[in-house]
Amino acid sequence: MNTNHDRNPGTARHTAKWPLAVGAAITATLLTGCQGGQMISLGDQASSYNHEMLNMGLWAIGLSLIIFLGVSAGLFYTVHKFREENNQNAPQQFHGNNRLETVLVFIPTLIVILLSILAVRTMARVNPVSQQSLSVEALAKQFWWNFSYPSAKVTGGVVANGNEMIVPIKQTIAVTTTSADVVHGFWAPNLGGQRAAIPGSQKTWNIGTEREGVYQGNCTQLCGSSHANMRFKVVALPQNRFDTFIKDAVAYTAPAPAAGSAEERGMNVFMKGTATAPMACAACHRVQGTPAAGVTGPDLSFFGTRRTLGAGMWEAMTADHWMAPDAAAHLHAWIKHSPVVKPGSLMPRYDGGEYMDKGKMIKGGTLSDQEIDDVAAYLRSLKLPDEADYWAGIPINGTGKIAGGTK
Amino acid sequence: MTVQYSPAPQQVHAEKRGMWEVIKDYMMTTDHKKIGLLYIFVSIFAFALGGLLAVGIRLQLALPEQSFLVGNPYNQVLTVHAALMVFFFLIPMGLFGFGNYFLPLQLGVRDVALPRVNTFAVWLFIASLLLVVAGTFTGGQAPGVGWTFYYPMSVDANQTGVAVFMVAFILNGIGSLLGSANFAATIVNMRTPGMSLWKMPIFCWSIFATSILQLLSLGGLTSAALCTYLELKVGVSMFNPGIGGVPVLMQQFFWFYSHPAVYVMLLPYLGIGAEIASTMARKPLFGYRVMVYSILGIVIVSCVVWLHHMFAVGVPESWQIAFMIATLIVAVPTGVKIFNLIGTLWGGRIIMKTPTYWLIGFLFNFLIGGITGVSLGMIPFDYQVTMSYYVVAHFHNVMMFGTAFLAMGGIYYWWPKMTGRFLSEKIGMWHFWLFMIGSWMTFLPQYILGLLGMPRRYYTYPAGNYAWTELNFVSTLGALTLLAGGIVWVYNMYQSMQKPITAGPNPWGGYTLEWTSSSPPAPYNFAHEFPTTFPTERPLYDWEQSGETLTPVDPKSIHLPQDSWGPFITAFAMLLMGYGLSFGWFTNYHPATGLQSFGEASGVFKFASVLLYLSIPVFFYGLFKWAGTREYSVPVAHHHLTKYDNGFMGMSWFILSEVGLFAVLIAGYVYLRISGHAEPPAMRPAAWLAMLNTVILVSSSFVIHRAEQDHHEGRHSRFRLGLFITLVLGAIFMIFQIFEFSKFGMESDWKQNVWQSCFFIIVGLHGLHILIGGVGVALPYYQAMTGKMDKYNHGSIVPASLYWHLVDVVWLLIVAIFYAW
Repeated sequence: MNTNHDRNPGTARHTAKWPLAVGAAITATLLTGCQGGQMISLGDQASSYNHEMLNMGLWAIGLSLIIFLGVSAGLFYTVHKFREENNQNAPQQFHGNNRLETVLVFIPTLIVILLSILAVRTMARVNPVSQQSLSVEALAKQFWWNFSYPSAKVTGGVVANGNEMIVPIKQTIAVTTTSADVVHGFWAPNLGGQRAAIPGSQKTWNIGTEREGVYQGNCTQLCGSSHANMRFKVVALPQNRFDTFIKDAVAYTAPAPAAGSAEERGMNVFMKGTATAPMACAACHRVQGTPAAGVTGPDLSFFGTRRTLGAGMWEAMTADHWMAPDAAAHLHAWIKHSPVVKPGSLMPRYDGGEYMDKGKMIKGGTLSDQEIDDVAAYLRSLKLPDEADYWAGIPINGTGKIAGGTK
Repeated sequence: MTVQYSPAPQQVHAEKRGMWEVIKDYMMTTDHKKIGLLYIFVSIFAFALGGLLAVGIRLQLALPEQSFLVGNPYNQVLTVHAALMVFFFLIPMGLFGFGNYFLPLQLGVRDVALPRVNTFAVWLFIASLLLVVAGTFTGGQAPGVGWTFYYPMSVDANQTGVAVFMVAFILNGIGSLLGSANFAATIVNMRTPGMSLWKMPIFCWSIFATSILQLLSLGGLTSAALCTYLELKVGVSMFNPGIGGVPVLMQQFFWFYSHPAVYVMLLPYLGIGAEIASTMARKPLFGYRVMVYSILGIVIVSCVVWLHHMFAVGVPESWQIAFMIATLIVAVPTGVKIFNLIGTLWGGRIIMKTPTYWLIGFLFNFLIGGITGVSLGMIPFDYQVTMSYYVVAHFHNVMMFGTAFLAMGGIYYWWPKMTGRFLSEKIGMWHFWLFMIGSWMTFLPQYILGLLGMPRRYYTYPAGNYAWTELNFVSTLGALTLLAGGIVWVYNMYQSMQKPITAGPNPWGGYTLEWTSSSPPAPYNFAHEFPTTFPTERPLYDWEQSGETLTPVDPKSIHLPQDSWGPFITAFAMLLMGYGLSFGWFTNYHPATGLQSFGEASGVFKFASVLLYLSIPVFFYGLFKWAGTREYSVPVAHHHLTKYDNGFMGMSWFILSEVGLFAVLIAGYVYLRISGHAEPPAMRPAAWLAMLNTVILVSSSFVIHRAEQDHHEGRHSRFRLGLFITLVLGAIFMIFQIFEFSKFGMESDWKQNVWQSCFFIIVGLHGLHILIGGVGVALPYYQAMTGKMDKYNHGSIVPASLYWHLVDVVWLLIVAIFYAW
C-alpha cells in the first residue's frame, strides 16, 4: 500500500527516510484494509518543504515518543503499584520533592529550547522566497481558484487558469495568495504548507515537488456553503513540458468555431446571452483572445484542456474526457443550474430557478437544453494545442493511473 | 484515616414542592449552591445538544458524498456545536458550575462575595444560551461561519444569524466577567479566618487563576464580536479591506481571548483533578506550591501565545517565532501539572472508584493531546496541518477526552456532596469505557486524516482519496460510541436521583472543608465554625492530627442574603434586549442594502425592534428593584479579610476586564494608525469640545469622590447633592458627545473611512460606558433618596464611584489618541 515507493529514484537523499504519514497510513491500512486512492500526504518526500519538515520532525517525534512512553509508563506503574488492592501500606504523607521538581522543570525547558531551535532553523530553510523563483498567483473566491502567471503576459492580462495549477518540477515555486471575498486557505500537502488567502493582502511562500504528477489541493479556511467543494489540482510537469505549456498559453487565442457549428452557436450564447438568459457567460468569465474578459468567475481560456469542473465537482479523468457520457451530463447540469449541483455556487441558474446571492433570492435565466449543449460544445473547443496538454501522461499521485486516461 | 466530621444529617424538606415553586426558587435564589447547580444543569444540557449536533456531523461524514447535512446547514451545525461546547459547556461547567458550588464550601464561607450579582450572572448566561438556541431553531437562523466567525465571512450577506451570536457572546461574556470578578473578590475577601491564600485548596487556586485570566483576556472576544456586530448593524468597520481595514485584525482580537479561553476551560478542571488525586490517593498534593506557580505561569504565558492560531496567515516571521517559543513554553507548567498529579498518586493507597478512572483517563489522554499540541507549535509543521483534521483531533483530544473527562470526574467525585446520593459505580464504569473507547475511535483517526490532507469543516469528501473513507467511517462509529456513553451517563444520574439520600458528609474521606458540610449541604453550608489554624492545604487531616475540632453554631443565628426578583428581572430584560438587538435594531440597516426606511423592514425585524425599546424600562425596573432591596433582610456584620468591602473588591476586579476591553480595541486602532491604514478625514471632531468635555468629566470625578467622603462622614444631604451634580455633569458630557457624533457623522461617511469607524467604535463604546456608569451612579442616588442608606448601609456608592473614575481615566486616554493625535 505504500504508494510512494515509485518516486523519482534520482533524488537519493529522499530514500533514506521513511515518510511520517506513510507510516501512519500503513497503520490505517492494517486497521481498515483500504484500497489505494489518490495519495494526499504531507509525508511526501518529493517536496523539499516536507523533507525539511521531516528532518525537524524526526527529532520531535523521537522526543515525543520518549516522553509519551516514559510518562504513561510512570502513570500506569504508579496506579498499578499503589492501588488499594495492591498496596496495604499506609499512604505516605509527603508533600513533594524539590529536587525532582527542579529536574522536571529543567528537562522540558531543555526540550522546548531544542525544538525552538529546530523549528527556527527549518523556517530559515523553507521560508525565504527567492526573487528568481517562478511566481504563481493564486486568487481564491467563493468557491474556486484562479492561478495566474505574472511573467506570462498576453494582451490584456496574463495567462490564467481556473482550478488547475500548472507548475514545473524540481524547482521552488513562489505562490502568492489573495482573496477577492472572504478568507480562504491554499493547501496542497504534497507540495508544502498552507497559506491563508486574505482579501486586501498578498502572501507569498514556497512550494514545490521533485516528482511529476497530479496533486490534490483544497481550501482550508471555512468560506461558505461549498468550502468542501473548493478543490484544485496541481499538475507538476517536467521543465520542458512546463515551458511548452507557457509558450503555447501565451500564444493562445481561443479557436474560432466553424460557421454554423454547435460551437459557434454556443459561442454566441456565451458572449451575448439570449433573450431569456441576458446574463451572458462572458460577463463573468474570461476567455483569452476573445472579448470575454469577466473577472467574477474562474478563467475558462483552456476549459477544453481542463479535466476538472466546478472546482472539483467533477473530474473527467478518462480518455474520453468531456465526451464521456457521465462527464458530458455533469457539464450540462453545471451550466444549467450550478447552484443545484454545488451548494452556494454564485453562478446564475439557467433553468429559470432561483439562487441565493448577497442574501437575496435571484431568478436566473433560461437556456434550452440545446443551447446548453451548444455552450458545452464551445467550452470543449477551448483547447490548448496537444503538445501543451498538461494532463497527458501525467500520473495521479498514488493511484498508478494516468490522469488523461489511456485509450 | 477517613476524617468524618459529621453533624447529624439535616432534615430534608419532606413536602414536595410544585414545579413553579422550584423554578421560582431558582430564579430568585442567591444561594451559590443552587446557582452552581443551575450552571451545571444548563451546561450538561448544552453538552447534550452539542453532542447530538456532533453526531449529526459524523453521520454526514461517515461515507463520501452523503446528503444528510449539505452546505450551509452543515456549517451552521458545526458552528453551533462549537459555540455550545466552548461557551455553554466547558467554560461554565468548570469555572461557574463547580466553582460556584464548591469555592465557598472549600473556603469555609456561606456565600460568594456578591450573591445577587451571582444570580444575575447565571441568568444572563442562560439568556445567552436561549438566544443561541432561538437563533438556531427559528428558521435556520444560525450562522454558518464557524465559532471563530472570521471576517469578512461574518458579514457575508448570504449569512444569517451572525448578529444573534455576537449578542449572545457579549451577554455570555458579561455574565462570565461578573462571575469571575465575584470569585476573585470572594477569594481575596472571604476565606474562613486563618486560611491564608497559600493554604487554600488547589481547586480554589484554579478558580482564582481562571477568573483572573478570564478578566484579563475576554476583551479580545468582546472586541471582535462588537466590531462584527456594529458592522452588521451600523456599517462601521475596523476590518474592511475595501476602506483600508485589516481583516486579520479581527483574528488577532478573537484569538487574543480564544487561546486563553482554552486555559479558562482547562484550569478549573486541573484543580478538580488535583482534588481527586489527593483524596483518592489519601495523600497531600505533590508539590502544592509548584502546582500553584504552574497555574499562575500558565495564566501569564497563555496571554502571549494567541498568534499560533495564525501562523499560516503570514504575519512577520519574528512575531511567529516569538509566539512559537511562548507556545512551547506553556508545555513546561502544563507538564509540571501532569507530573505532579502522578507524584500525588505515588505512594498512596489509591481508591479505584470512578473519579479515579476519569482522572487517570484524563492524564493519559491529555499527555497525547499535549504532545500533539507541542507539534502544532512547531511552525513548519503547523503550516502543514493547521486547519486540517490534525488540529480537530488535537483540540478534541485536549478538550473532549482531556478536559471533559475531568468534568465527568468532577461530577462523579462531587455528586454525593451535591445530591446526597451516589452514582452507580457499575454504570459509571460503562460510561467511562464507552467514552474512552469512543473518543479514541472518533479522534485518533482524525489525526491521520489530517496528515493525509483532509481539511477541517468539510461537509463532504470525494471517494477517491487514500484512506479517507475508512478513517472517517471509524470516526463516525466512535461518535456513536460516545453517544451511547452519554446516554449511559444521563441514565446514571437519573437512576441515582430516584434513590434516597444516603451519603454521609465525607464519603471519599476528603480533606477539604466542603466535606464537613452535610450532603447535600444545608443552605447555610456549615452549622459550625472552623479552627483557625491551617498548617497545610488539607485542614481536615491536620486537625485530626492536632485534635482540633469544629465549634457548633446554632443554624438559627446564621443569616443568609435574601432572595430577590431584581437580578432575575434585570437578566430577563437583557434577554429581551438581546433578542431585540439581534433581530431588530434602531434603524433598518443591512450591509447588503444599506439604510432603508423602517417601514420596509420585515415583521420579525419590527417586532424585535419594538421589543428592544420595551426591554429598556423592564431593565431599569429590575435594576432599581434590585438596588432598592437590601442584600440581607436584617442588619448583618460582614466579615471580610481586607479593609475593602465586597462591592469595592468585586468592582476592582471587574474593572480589570474593562481595561482589557479598551486595551484590545485601542491597540487595534493604534496599529491601524501607525501602519498607515487609518487616516483621519479632513474634517475631524474639534479638540476644543473634547477639552471642554474633559473638564466636565474630570470635575465630575472630583465631585463623586467628595460625595463619597460626605457619605462616609455622615453628611447625607451633601452626599445626595454630590451624586446629583455628578449625574448632571455626565448628562452634559453625553449631550456634547451626541452633538459631536451627529456632526461628524454628517460631515463624512464612516462606511468609507477606517479612522472614523475606529472613532465611532471606541469613542462610542466609551459613551456607552458613560451611560452605564451614569446608571451606576443613579442607583446609590436612588438608594439615598429612598432612605436605604445610612451609616451601616453603603448601598452601591463605592463600586459606582470606582466605575465612574474608570470611565474618566479611559476618557483621558481617548482624548490623547483621537483628539490630540
